Amino acid sequence: MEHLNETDLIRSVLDGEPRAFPVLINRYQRPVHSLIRQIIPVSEDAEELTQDVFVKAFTKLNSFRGGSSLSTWLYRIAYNTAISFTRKRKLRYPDFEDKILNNIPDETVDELLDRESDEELMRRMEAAVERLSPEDKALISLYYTQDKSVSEVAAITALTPENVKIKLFRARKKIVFLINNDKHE
Amino acid sequence: MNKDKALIKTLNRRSDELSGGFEERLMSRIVLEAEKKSRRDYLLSLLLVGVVSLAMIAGAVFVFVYFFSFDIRDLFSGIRIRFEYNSLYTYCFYIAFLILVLLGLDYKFRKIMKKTSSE
Repeated sequence: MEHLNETDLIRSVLDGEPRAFPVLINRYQRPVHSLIRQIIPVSEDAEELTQDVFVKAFTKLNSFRGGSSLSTWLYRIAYNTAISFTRKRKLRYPDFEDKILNNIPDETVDELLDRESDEELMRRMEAAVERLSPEDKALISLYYTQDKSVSEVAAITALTPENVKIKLFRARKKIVFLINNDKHE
Repeated sequence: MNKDKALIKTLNRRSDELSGGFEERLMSRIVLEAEKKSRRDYLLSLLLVGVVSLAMIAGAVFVFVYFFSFDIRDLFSGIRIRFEYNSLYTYCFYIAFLILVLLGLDYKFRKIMKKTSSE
């Protein structure tokens, strides 16, 4: 059962094969949880939402048409579940004016985010990422830690690839701005 | 943009492991959801059968009444119950009762047999 490809695995679940869904869970629980954990600050909430994602996937699997890969479909459910959770909580995130972000040179961003990191920088960067909006956290997590291409990120977040590129670019600048701000405070 | 080593390292530091028993808890939720789904499907099919049956009965009544001018009173007008056959009626009811009891026992024993064979 573990060696089944995606299509056969889905067919087995839909045919009611009891051993098939645990295989699917086992295969995708870590990446799905990892994405949700990046968006949701509380570990217990992230775990609960990961469970919700798999329950939703189980009930809606017959609507999966195979237009995208199963992982993209699961990520889309995870993204929507986590984002709607944060919207319900009505958490506030800092607004960034275009003028401020445009004043940060691209070279500074490239240099800082690609630097051989020391503990102090990592701590400040972690705090900066924490202050980003859930959408920005999801985008950078999908792109950097889940190794998704821009077009895959676009499919998951229902944005255009151009929009994803712009938002990623701006998210990097926001991180640098927050790091510098933290340094000055 | 792809490199951003420090950012990747930071993001990887932010993620943590799932707690023990996560899969068991998830599977028990899935089992509950599957039971709910099958119950919902059963009720839906029952409702569908009910609606279709009622529609068919209504259609049949409509056809009989409006196209064949059928009147149920005409059907029963020739039937007369005569009380001199009282003992025959009692016998018929007795036989019908026996048949029902036997059918009930047959159903019960089949159920018991099925249960013991599955165990």
